[in-house]
Amino acid sequence: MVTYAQHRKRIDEEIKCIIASNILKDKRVFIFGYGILTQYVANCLSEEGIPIEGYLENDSSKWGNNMAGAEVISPSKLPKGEDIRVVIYSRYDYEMIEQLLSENYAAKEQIVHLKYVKACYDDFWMDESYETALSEMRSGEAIYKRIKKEDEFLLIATTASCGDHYFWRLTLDQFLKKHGINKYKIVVASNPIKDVLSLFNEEAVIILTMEEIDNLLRYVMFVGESNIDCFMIYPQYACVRRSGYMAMAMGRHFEEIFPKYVFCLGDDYEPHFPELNKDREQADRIEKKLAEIGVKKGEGILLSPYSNSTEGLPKEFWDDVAEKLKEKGYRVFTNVAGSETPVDGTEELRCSFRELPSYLEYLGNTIALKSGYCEIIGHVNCRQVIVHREVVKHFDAKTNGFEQMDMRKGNLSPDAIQFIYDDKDYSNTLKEVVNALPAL
Amino acid sequence: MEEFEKRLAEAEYGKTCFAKLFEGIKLAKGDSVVLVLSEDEEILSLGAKYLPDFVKENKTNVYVIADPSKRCMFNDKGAKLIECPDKKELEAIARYLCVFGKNGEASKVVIYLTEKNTYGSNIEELLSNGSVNKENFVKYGVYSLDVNPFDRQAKE
Repeated sequence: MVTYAQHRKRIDEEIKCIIASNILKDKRVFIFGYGILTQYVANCLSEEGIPIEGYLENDSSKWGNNMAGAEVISPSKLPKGEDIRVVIYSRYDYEMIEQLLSENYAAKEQIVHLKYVKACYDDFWMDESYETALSEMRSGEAIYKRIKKEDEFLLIATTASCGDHYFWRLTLDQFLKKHGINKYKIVVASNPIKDVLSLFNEEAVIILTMEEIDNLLRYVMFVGESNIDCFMIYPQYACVRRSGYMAMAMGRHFEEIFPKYVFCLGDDYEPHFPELNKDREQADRIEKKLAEIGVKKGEGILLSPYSNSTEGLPKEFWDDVAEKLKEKGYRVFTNVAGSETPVDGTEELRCSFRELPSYLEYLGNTIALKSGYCEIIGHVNCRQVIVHREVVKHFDAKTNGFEQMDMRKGNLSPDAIQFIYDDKDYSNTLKEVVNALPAL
Repeated sequence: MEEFEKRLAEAEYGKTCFAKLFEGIKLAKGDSVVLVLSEDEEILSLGAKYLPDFVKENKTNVYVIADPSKRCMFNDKGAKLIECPDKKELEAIARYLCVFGKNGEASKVVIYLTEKNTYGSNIEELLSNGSVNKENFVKYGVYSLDVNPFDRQAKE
């Protein structure tokens, strides 16, 4: 009976205790495990001024990956030293502690064990869990009654990936028309998602916390969408709607998932892309800003190495890309958000999705790990070089990274230059990526 | 009475029915319960066909709750069959387990062998408009059998 929101709540509580106790102050901090929850732990610690040096991971396929400058390494590569600390928040917490101690990778006092919210299968059937679930549903009902007006339709769109929100919005108008919906409200989980929807001039957007959304979904699923004028735009999570999972497992292209498998529009759908960079005042302001710092039009590159939903590429890869591009004469920037850090030797660029097209049209080039960023900038007038992972894991379904996310399909990014990352020898991908950009 | 309250009352009834069926059985960590609700012959037959794969993938106890007429289909598939002769009870159990909602399903504790509503309102439409065939629905929609994309390409 554990939701992501409950995990986050627990992590927040545990982090507060850690900060209060100063046990990580001035220490070199590693986190055991590389996944969504541990990345959340990392973000929380970073926000409290505790940088993460790396992730320990037993899965060798993840070694060398990089998240906001922290590399994924084998536990055996954990540096020695009294100032080393290993933070653990995992369902395998005791196994991890056992491994660190039995292999002498770390001493007991170097391990910081955050108490994990167990998915209590054993307790699953207990009355207490049932009562908790009921109370969460009732809380969901209260949220529903608070935010929904009688004549409105409620769309609950809660994936973490900004790209997904861009995708579903492309064909929303057809879904609304099919069901005769004129007035609606959209529930999302964060400001960046609201920012994505602003590209389509969506105004009726409500931001709820993940915990509120969890409760709302619990209520909607129990009562039934059609009984209360709601629709859950949440395709992957097996628990909420199997259709997206099925589509991915069946090898369908990403572009088809929302219109065909969530909105059920059959083959008869046509995406309506937003008009980007139409705000001349904003474009002029950004051009002026870049020119003032000496960037010439068309001679800049924005790197986008981060993704919320795809494994990152090794830090060395991005460092080398940046170096080679600088040798070619480009000004190199990194697109960052939250606690992400720029690639070594590059300049940081933080901006909203609304501003992004103006930056890119001036800089002229971008190189990105395939992520939601690529979908959002797909129709921006700039050279787009996209690096795909060969296999991408989405929840339970694995997808063929390139086949299912080819950005040229469905007119998502008509001129994208695309490569598949070579896991065995990244220098091959490095050459391809760098050669895709002309010397200045 | 509002739909919510009606369903809550049904869930309460289902809770009692479930406890009666599982009397003396201790569910352990990772166990799964497959609730057979469909009356569609093809879905039922595919559900029986892929049940061994689901059992194999889960490596723990899988309980199948079904009415006795389905016994011959789901017997000897590696799962433990629990008979529930009363259709009304079976539906109430589904409602009870729906209270646990997404957590129950996400952890594969409960899966529903049915094409009706339990997986969101659009499954029936996807099956009827041909976007998904019944075999893929059972394999991926119900049992969430994992597929390596390259294995899938080789098979296709």
